[in-house]
Amino acid sequence: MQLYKVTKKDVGVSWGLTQLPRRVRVARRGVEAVEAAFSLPLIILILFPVLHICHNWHNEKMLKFAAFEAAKVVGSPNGSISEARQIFEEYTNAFGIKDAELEFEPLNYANLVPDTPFWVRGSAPMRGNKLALPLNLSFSNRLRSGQVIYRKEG
Amino acid sequence: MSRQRKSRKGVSVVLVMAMLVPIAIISFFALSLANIQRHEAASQIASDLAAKYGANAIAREIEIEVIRERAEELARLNWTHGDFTDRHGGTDPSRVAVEIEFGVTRFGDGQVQFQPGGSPTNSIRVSTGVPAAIYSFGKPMGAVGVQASAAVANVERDICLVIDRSGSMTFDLQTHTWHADKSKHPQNKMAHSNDKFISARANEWWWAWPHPENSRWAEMMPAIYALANELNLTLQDELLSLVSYSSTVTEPRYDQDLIRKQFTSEEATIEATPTYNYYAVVRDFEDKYNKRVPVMGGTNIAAGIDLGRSVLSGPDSRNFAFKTMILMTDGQFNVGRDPWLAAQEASDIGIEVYTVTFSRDADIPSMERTAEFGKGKHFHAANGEQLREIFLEIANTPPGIFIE
Repeated sequence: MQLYKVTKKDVGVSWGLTQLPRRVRVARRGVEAVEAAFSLPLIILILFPVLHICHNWHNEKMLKFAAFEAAKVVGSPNGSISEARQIFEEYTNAFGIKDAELEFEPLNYANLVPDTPFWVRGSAPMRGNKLALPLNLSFSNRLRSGQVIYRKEG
Repeated sequence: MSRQRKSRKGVSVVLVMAMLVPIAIISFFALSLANIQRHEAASQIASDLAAKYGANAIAREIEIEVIRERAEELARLNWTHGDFTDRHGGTDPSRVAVEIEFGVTRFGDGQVQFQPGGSPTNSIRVSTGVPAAIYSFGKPMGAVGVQASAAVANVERDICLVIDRSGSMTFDLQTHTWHADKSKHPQNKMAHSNDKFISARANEWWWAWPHPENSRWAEMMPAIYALANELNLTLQDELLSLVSYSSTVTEPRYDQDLIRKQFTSEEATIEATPTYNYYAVVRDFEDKYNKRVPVMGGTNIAAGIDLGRSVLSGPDSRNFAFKTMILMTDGQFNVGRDPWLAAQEASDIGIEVYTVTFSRDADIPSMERTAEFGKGKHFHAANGEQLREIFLEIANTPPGIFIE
């Protein structure tokens, strides 16, 4: 049986499979796919963690900003805790952060005397706030949090 | 053919590997950029909080060195990203560079400027800086300095109270009618007159003078007294001025001696030029409209804002003070131009316009819009007690403003 001789005309012009004879196409079908299947995870291994980390940092930054706004309210002389929670909720909703919570320390912040330092922390669970990636890169459901420290104004 | 197949093997691998390097570089560039942004945000928050506290402390006349120490501590501690109870977790506070300057803030021509040094000290500027890591292949390979600063001025305020004295202010706040109450009006001598001609016209008397208990006017006055009292208690020395507005009308009314006269209502009136004698301003205002001048006319809100603006920008106001206008209305503007246009003009020269609506007839959306154009805030009060709380809140609004 005489083998078909592949000429320059067949392969030199283009890498396109359509220009190769059917027998050659059958023999080489899927080679690129297999190679890509081995190579793409490398790219994914770089891209997805970067996206994951950047998204977490962004959420942390937004939580810190919302906590900052809440701290300003609580720290003002007539600031109320309910107003601070409302402000915090408005900001986290606007930032698209779900199930965010606001904590204060010390817990008896309502009776703070002027100049007393206090801590305000906004936190949100990883679940529901992570990127919708095909790989689960969060190995825990650790809270993301943003914290600020302020002193009660007089 | 075998040779041809061999020559094509690994092409995708080569392509992917060739792309891998730029992808990795771009990824780590994105990571570094995100880290820098995160540090910038934290730096700004740390500066803002430290400066805000510092300005408040200046107003309370705390010693400058104590303020410096506390503000610096706040700026450093706000870099912590660690555990909630661990104040020093995360970024090492000692790596944060903090610079604190005290100075004076001047106002003029709509401009606000911080000048380091000078006297009396009324402002503080806090600058923070920290190195943000640049990532390369998973490890920090360097850092760039991230800086932010915030200046807060603890300023004096010139406040102009702009009060609605249109005819509807005599309306009954609870029942929303004055007719029902005319015979009970303690000052309505017409209703009890032996002269039938006069007693038959008792309604006309009621139209001109606010009921001392049930009218909107009567509900408003204690709130204004409360504002005056609260301004006396604040740490700042505010200058208070008072402007009233309705519309220009000339109509016959019965005065307190039951004599029919022609009364003319001015569009807008300066009731008091800027003064520190708050109580006298309110007392004179109450006395005037309860006894001598009838409360009547339409509602030209823009005229009130315009006159308030001229008072706040006039020679009796302080150039360095922050200007606040408190606009009170019980109804809807039915005379003059749109009030938000007037508020915009006031805002353009640095006046903050707060709007307060009172009673259920008020046009709340228009007043919200006016407050928005005036870069202020809108409040609504359903009764006198709520109005009082709103005035107290405005009086106690922290005087510190961010200027940088």
